[in-house]
Amino acid sequence: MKHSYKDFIHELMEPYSGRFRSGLGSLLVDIVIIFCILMSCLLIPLGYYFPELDPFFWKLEIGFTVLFCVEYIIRWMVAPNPIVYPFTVFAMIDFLAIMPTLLVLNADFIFLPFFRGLRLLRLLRLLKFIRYRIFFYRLYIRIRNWSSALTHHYHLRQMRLLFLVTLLFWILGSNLLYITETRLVGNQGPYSNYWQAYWHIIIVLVSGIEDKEPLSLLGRIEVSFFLLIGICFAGLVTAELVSILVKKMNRSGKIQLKAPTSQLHHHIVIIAFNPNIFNVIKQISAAVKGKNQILIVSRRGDKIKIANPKHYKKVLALPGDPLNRSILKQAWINNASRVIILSSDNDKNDTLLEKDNRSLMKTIAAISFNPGVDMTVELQTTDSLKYASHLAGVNFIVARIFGERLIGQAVMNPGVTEIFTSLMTYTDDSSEFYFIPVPNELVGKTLKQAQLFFLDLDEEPMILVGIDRSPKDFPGTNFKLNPVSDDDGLSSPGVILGEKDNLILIAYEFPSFSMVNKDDLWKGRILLRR
Amino acid sequence: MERSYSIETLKGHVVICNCNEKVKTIVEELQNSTVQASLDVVLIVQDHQLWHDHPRWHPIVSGTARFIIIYGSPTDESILQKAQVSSAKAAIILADPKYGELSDAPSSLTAIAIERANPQVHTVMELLSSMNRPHIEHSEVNEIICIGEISEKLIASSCISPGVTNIFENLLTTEDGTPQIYINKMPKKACHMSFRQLTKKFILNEAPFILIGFIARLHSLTTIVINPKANGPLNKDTPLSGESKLVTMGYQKPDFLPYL
Repeated sequence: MKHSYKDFIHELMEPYSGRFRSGLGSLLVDIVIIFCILMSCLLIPLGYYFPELDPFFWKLEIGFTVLFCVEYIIRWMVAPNPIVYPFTVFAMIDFLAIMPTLLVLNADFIFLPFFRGLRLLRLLRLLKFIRYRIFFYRLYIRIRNWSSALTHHYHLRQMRLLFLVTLLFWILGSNLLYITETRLVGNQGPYSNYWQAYWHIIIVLVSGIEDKEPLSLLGRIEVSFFLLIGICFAGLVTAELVSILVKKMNRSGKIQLKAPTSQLHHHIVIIAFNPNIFNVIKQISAAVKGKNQILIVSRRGDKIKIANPKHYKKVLALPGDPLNRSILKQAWINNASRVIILSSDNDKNDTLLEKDNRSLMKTIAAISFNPGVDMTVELQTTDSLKYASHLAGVNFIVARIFGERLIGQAVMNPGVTEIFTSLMTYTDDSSEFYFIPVPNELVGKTLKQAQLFFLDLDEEPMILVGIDRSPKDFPGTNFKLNPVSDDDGLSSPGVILGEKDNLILIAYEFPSFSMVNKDDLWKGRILLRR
Repeated sequence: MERSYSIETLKGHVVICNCNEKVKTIVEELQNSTVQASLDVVLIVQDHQLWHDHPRWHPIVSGTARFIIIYGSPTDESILQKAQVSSAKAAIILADPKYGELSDAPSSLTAIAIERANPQVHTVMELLSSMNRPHIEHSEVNEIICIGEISEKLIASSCISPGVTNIFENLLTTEDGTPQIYINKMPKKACHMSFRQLTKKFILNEAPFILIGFIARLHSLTTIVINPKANGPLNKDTPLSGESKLVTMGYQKPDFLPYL
């Protein structure tokens, strides 16, 4: 199932999403097009301000139009349905972007009276930015989070306030001293010059040294007051700087904290803390190659120590009670791709059932924020499963059950634990189970044909082991591994693969030929490594 | 439900050392398996009181297989002799609840005692702290199962591919109609055939199992290859020697010969 040249160009022309076939080439194309749109729009005001350079600008405009025409033609050629493509919204916008210049080029005999108006119409190409809305949105979120983190970690809000207060006192002091001195002693003193007064007051405020004393008594009283303000200002700045340094030192070797104002999107929330958390993070990071942020919500969030900060670059902690709604709100669960609820070991005296009840309460709290999110909950006892199963769509894991069964299997099929470990571990060199929709080429084919097809797919090794016919929102609830029996209508080799079926594959990575819904990808329903 | 059995003629049985909440499921899995012959089980209980205080840990024995309880320390040679470890198929060393989180040490010592009594026995040890795994891997223990590790891996797998835990559950259960993973020796007839050739034959001959990998020796190291790649030292087209093993997914122990 090789990618055609057409598929490759199509992906290249699609806005960069940072994952799944959307490579740096796509980002480069986006940047070039965005730059050209901005430059071509900038030519319009430049043409008005520098009319002598208009012929040069016009040549540039023709160059940009040629480029947009090429872009339009390429998009049309590689469109999945070239007949419908010209009538799609983005194609019409692209056409609007090139149409004014094309009209102006022929304006001599058609649209001469509207010549200037037509040139203004070139601004319509700003509409092309609509195509890159997700790109810009991501950029906006990233910049916003970066500035929020800076503001939080380096106390920028307090520093800003200090700066504003100082500025206020500077202006106030300079004017006050200038007025006092000119009124009381005339033009003799150092504060009699308006701009000199500014210089002297800033020295008083910042250094706390009275460089040039006023001549009048009132002026001296005022300067003394500003000297006190200056001492306070210096003290506060020093205190803030020390506080930042102390905080930095205290937090070294710990997971970085989430800034209260930062907004997270398509992240993975881990609620509660237990020693397994580090390996869970390690596994997830390996599986998504650090593409999604991980947020730990726990009362001990600010105390979590890490051995290698490099591995936790995309991991944030939010200290607080996970049952507190304001904490959950700050965790942006409504935007999360996945939620994991670990069995907390906060209270050592808790019984297993009590631990499970706490986890279940957290589950209910998280569901109230985002009912559709894929959630995995760690439970300790099978008894809890009886009533937990009413929460449809939540994956409950009682590891003990798996452990007991694995021990049994290890006796019956020696060596099998390593096979399971390999299938459960996410590394570049191990295979895992994946659910993918049946590729178009295999719809209507038998399972046997599909198995032979995958066997010879050497670029991406994978083995077809089953069929999944679960509802879209509940994957893995109606499937058959190695379908050989006649029950469930999944008998092999006669079973015919349908459009709505999913295949269960053992593969090293999420198969690249899979028809991934861009919406699912954007909303984080599918987490990918590539 | 306890019955009294004679232990004189035990052979190919499973010895379970220590008791905890896992005993019930393990014994029932071993004795009620629909895909393999039921196995006799000998349980060595150190703490008589602990066993009797927890009736929920007691397995329901319904088949013909025997379930025998011996009271004593599993590190005691005479107790191991009594349990006939020398003729056992496998030994399971469970974490003793008496030692809490520190039970990995007594479990390891029990494993050493069992390996000394019968080096051929397949030992499966329950580990509590995954940090201890590297130390125990250097011992003679054949398989180490750490519930914490399983939990971590399953949580991560479920997070990445929701629903995947059901696949593991399906593969691990021995209930009727659920497939399992089997590791079996290569049949002589298949010697020097590659993974690709074998798979093709099994698919075309409609074998009731799926070949998912193999275990072969590479530079004197036993290597497990699941879903072999098209290139690399052990790939899809590497001829497999007679010593290799095939990893399959099926409903019962595979019989390769009719499909070759």
